[in-house]
Amino acid sequence: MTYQLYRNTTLGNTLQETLDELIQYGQITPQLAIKILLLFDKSINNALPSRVRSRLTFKAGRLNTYRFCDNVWTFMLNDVEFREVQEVAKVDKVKIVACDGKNTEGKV
Amino acid sequence: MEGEECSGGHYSKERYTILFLTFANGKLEVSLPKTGSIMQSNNVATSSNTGGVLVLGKGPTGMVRQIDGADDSSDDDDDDEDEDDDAEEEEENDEKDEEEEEENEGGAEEEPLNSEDDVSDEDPTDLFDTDNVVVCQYDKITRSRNKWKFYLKDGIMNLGGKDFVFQRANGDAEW
Repeated sequence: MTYQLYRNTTLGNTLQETLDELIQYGQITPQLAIKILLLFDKSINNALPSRVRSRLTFKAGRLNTYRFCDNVWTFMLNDVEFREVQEVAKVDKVKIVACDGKNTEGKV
Repeated sequence: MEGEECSGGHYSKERYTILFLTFANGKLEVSLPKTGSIMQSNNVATSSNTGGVLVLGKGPTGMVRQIDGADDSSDDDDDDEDEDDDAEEEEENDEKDEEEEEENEGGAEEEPLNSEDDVSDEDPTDLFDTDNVVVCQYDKITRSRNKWKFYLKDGIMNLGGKDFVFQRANGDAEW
């Protein structure tokens, strides 16, 4: 289950920008960049369930929109409060993109 | 009438009132007005005198007065109406174009066209650049009427420019 889902994160985007720069300077080939991104996908997909322990809850003022397409849920929430034990984070607007978490899913 | 040529053609104004007569037992025994005449209908698959077509006379000159059709707008009239409508539409369009041209010229001189656009001068928060995104996987998404429950896992969040990770996240929202 190696989703390319996590490429649109700070980490994933920074990696992609760096790889693009290296390609521009001719220091790596595009094929190598693709390989690296695939390896990134695998690493992050493995690390998250095994090395992360935190659990949190969130409560939204409003579910603005929901979309379920190609087994991917996309939500837009308003006035959301994320809570983890002591810490709280509040945002006006948040977008949640969620892929199917079941084990039998293949690569996206 | 049988044997006669069809007069008037497609747009004929002649109207014939036709009455089909027969008794339940199939017999036809009716005393008829003089001006009427009976034809045997060729389509009635019975023996003679069991059914028929009674022609009660032509148009306005016959015994049965024609009520409908007299004031109909003919196809000719319809064409005229259409032509008028088209002409009116063209005029309206020309007028509209002229008005728009005037507005455009006037607008450039008087005030910028975007003067009434809704522009928010202030950023609601300092975080307007951040698109708060949560990228994760879902275990279960449920809904009861408009109450949604989210059971998420393995997520990376970017909230207010800061990154967070979670193994599990449960949430509630109303739609």
